[in-house]
Amino acid sequence: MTAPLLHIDKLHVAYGRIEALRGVSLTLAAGERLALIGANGAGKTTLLKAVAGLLAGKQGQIQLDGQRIDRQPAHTRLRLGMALVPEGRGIFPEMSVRENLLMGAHCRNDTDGVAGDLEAEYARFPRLAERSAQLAGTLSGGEQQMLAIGRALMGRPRLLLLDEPSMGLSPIMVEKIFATLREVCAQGVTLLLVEQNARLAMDLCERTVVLEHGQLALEGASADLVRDPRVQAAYLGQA
Amino acid sequence: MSARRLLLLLLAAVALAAIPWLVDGLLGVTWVRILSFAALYVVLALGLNITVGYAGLLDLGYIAFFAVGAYTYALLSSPQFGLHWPLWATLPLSAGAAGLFGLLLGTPLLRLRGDYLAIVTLGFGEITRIFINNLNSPVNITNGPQGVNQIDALRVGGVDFSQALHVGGFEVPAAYMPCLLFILLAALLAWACTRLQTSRIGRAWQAIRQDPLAAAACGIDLRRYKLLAFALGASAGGMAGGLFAGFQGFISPESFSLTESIMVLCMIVLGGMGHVPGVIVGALILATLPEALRALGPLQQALLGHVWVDPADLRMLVFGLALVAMMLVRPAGLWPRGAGR
Repeated sequence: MTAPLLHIDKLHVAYGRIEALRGVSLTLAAGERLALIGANGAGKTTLLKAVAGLLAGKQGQIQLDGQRIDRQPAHTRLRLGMALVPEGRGIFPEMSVRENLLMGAHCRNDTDGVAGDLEAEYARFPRLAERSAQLAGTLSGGEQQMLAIGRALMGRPRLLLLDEPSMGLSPIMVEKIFATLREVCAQGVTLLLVEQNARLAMDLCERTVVLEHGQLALEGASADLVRDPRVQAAYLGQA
Repeated sequence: MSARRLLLLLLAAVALAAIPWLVDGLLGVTWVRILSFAALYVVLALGLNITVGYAGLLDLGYIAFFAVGAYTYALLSSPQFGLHWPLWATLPLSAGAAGLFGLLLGTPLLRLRGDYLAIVTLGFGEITRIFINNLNSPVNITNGPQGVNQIDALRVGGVDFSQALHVGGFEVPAAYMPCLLFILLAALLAWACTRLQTSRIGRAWQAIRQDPLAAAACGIDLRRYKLLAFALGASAGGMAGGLFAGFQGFISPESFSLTESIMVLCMIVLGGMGHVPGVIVGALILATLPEALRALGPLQQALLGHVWVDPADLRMLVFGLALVAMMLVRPAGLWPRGAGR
């Protein structure tokens, strides 16, 4: 049996003396889609940042393809095939759309491959192609989210870490973004999705993990968890 | 390179070389000396622009690198230690020593941002000046507040930049020589900065400035690029320092005060942060304006028949007002970078 793509083992992350993650373990097989849901402050974003290398873990391990990566700085982890779409999109407002997309390929050296991928992202998001020379800060929220996803995909990730893609977007735009994510995953990209909108997330991902107070509360197939009364009460707004 | 570009380059070179003659003809030979200092400020401002304008690391102690460069040159080419190294060795060493100081300063600062970074760099600038001021005992290294005297003039091969140069029947006056050298170096640095800005490194700096977290998420090594910005900016400052020492023949710690750091920062803010032509314009204006305002004395005499306010007091007041007015009218700088590109 081959090693899972991502394996997190008893991860602890703390901000000073406050523990945001208290021994979280997770496994993600290649090609899988995993939704991470939970209340504000449950540690969802912290977990994504720790995987991407933007936060250091206090204890525990993170493995990619069976290799420990938790001691590696963020920029080398990217080269191993992961990309993060940060919360609040994190586009570069004073760069053009095109420059933003190219930043996603900053650590790549294959000029021809990058040019091809740029065209592929324009084909995926025709709106971005129309606005290619426009400054990213002048885009609408939905366009910025498209740009952030496109930029992450420019690094040709095998594992996509996505933090709250639906935040602050209109329902129509959210639907578009999630349809695109479905296509991206169909091409074989593994997805770790953090989302407030639990129904949407569980609809996209076959497996769901519920995080509460920095610990795993529930884990299972999305189809089962959707019917779980605890999940329904806490995250799906049903009595 | 195409013939057209070569021709343009040649024209630009001739135009730059003609500047001292033009300035002397229009304003007199004192202004050639003022222009030499202004060109040094252009070098300083372009250097600080790498750190502040490109990478967004606010450095309020930049003049320390100028000081390190100046003292490196001075100690290696003066009677202080009886050393008289040639320019081709001392100038790169000035830049190198300052670059090393940039790395030393940058390393502990990597985690700091914004105001905190500004405060620590400000402290670094002051510490450097105080150190230089006191390094005359127990072992006399810098000669303390008396400064270093009789520093060797700038000399490359057989050309002495403090003497007139005779090329065939043509004479380049002594006052023009350093001015020409500084203009040449400032132009080279400006060209290098423009290239740097659109390079891979420049893009990474731009990303770090706009959103450090997103830059890290794009695989940019924040540590490496921030240190590079500090070191490159510092070496430009060090080179300017070496030239300054050789030009003046004398340096003392008081040339490297906090006011100078602020002045260089003002130049890039006023001109247009991150934009090479803007930075050059800002440096030229701020370096020459205090000199131009000396004319306030004769002006009062002519208009009012009597010098009512000492021009030495008045000119700094007008200088300050001019700064305030310019920032109100053009908050992004006189010549900011255009959008779109």
